[in-house]
Amino acid sequence: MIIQALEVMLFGMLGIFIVMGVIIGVISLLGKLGKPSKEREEPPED
Amino acid sequence: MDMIGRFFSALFGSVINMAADPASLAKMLVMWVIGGVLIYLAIKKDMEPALLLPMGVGAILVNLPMSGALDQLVGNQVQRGALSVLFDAGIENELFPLLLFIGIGAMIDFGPLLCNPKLLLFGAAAQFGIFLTILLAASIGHFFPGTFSITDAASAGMIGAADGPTAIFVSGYYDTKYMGAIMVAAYSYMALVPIIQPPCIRLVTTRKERLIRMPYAKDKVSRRVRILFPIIVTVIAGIVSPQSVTLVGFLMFGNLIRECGVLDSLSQTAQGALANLITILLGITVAVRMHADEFLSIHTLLIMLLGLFAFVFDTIGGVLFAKFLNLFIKNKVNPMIGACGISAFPMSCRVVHKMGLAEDNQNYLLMHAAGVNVGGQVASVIAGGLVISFVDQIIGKV
Repeated sequence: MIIQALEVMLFGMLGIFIVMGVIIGVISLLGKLGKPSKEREEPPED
Repeated sequence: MDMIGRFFSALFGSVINMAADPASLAKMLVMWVIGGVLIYLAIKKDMEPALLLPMGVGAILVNLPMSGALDQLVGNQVQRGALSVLFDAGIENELFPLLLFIGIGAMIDFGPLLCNPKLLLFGAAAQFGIFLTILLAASIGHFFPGTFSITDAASAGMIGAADGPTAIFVSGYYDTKYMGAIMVAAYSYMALVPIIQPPCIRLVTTRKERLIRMPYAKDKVSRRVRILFPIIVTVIAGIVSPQSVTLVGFLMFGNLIRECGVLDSLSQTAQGALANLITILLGITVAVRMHADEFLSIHTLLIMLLGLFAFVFDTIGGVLFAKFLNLFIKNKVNPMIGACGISAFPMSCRVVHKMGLAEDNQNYLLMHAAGVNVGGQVASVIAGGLVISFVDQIIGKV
């Protein structure tokens, strides 16, 4: 049972970081897509 | 004479039966005291009163002799008790915690987290206590057969989620007999976060680290991101852990109601009426698992100790992860915010904010701490789902 619990612990921690990493990636991407780009904000140079 | 006998039997039959069994009578009296203590803590000490008070009343209710609140065998027929019916209808099938999650989701503002999504990592790190407690409980079960099975260990570990509904969900899913003790531990320790966390944080941080300032630049989070966040989290968590998708799904459904901007009245209902109604029913129904025969055992004491262990190592895990990150990043984070990943929203972020101010009265950590705290809420729910997935694989349920 200890080995089983170790398995749950190792895979659980690994799994939670992977899931969080994926969520962070997707949210960051959405955040970037949602913001106007700097080039568009600045007036064009002559 | 017969009439007088029937009169006394009708009035005091249950007491006479109990008096014939002094051991049961003593257990019953102890449970009344425990119920009274829970009610006292709720009213006098303001410790999670919404849950501890109904649980205290429930503990007394189910431990009355021949209590009609529980199923009773009368002759050859089972007379259904109201609490047993509620238990079957709302906890055994995990319905109550799920409905409560709609309300909780509607209460949470993920704004501080969405400004800095990396804070989710602290939430993940602070679930360490859950998994370490599962390992500890399983070890106890291994060396002392008959104490904890792997499913009991998983349920006990979920106290570390610092999130009552998740702990109830997992306990209900595995139908553990320790659900009553798990609930008492989870809600008591949540109320004790201001006492448990500060010494743990001080133990693993230096004063210099506690003084690290974290400027807060408030980015405006677009409505599109706020709306897409609950949907994305549900889809990702559902793919990873389909057995428990409802856990995350209902939390995020509640949040979507809040953020969509067109369901204000439903959002208010979910945050208020729905959450309150379910809280009342949940507290008193959990007491079904607080019958003296199940509750008064060494296991209950063990569960309480395991719960404390889980809270302590959740806190330490979050703080140590923040210290680890500081080795690699330029803009250092105050490691105290790692402790907020324990969930226990919003108590934990208030504790860390106050600790930050106590060290340096110009150091405002509240928004960072709140971001980690709501991240911890998401992480604890996902951790619950992952525990179910992995344990199901082990016991061959899937």
